Amino acid sequence: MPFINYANQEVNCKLVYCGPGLSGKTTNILQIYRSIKPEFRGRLVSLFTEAERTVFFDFLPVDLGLVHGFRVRFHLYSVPGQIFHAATRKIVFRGVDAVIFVADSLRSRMDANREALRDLREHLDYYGVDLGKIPYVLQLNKRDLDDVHDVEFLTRELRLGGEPVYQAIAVNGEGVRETIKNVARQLLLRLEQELVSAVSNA
Amino acid sequence: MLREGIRRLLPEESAKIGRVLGMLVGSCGARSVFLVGMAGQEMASAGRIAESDREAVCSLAASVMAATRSLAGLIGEETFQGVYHRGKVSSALILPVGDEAILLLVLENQLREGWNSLEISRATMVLRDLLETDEI
Repeated sequence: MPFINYANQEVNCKLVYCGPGLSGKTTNILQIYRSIKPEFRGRLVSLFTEAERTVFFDFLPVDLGLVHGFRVRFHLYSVPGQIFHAATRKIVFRGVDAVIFVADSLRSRMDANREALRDLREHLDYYGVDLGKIPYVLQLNKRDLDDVHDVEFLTRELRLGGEPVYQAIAVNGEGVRETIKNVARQLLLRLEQELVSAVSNA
Repeated sequence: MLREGIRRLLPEESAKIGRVLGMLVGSCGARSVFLVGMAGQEMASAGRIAESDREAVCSLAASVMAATRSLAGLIGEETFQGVYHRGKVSSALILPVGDEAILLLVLENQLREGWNSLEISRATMVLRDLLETDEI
């Protein structure tokens, strides 16, 4: 849930990148890290194995600037995608405010996408979070590769409702900013009323 | 204060929590003390916090606590009381504060048994009560 600290006029939100293993969650966060000036981001923390597979999470704090006098910070997390890390994923989803599902466009990964989506819904159910009621975006990654499903098929199979869908080639940064900008906009809209009333009551 | 899916920390709550953390810094000789939400966000802090990368520290402390609790469940314990990392120069003590927060103490030296454990235990209870009270 968003955390508003009235004493130091700060808002913190938790945004989680999820999806099947090797779909590009860490790559998304790395691209954001590289594209943001150091004064607007914190340290990138990655907990990975020797093979550089995420074992716990990646973490990157990002400063979105002032909104109605409050400094808004997004804490970006990615979860490990491999099926056997389910217990770890559950931990990272605690307190989530927004989700980006990074789908792998490769035909061979369609079952993994479906499994990861089912896993996401199970974890959110555990915390009583309705995916339809929090900011959520579907990103179709690896659009540059051969042997990928077409966008219409992936959207039909993986879209849960009316969530925005973005195509991406995260490895070279395409679609990465657009995806997070959309989620940020949704989150800020959600916080707007709270912050406006805070300012008017001050 | 928890309301409508948003956690708010009001200035008066923040001041009370700050006083408790400040007392802990003094009584335990801690380098720094953090109150961290279970989702990993810093709620309040005291001591020499400028020496730390606060956001990374809070995120990792919350993760350690969450992993510890999960591990407890998997081996048949309801919960563990906390986590203590003992280093050569610095040590870290991570304790749950109710269901919504954790307390992280960064100590210059190793944790001494006895009176400051009692101080920490008292402070944890006070913080828990503050966080669980809607109107302060």
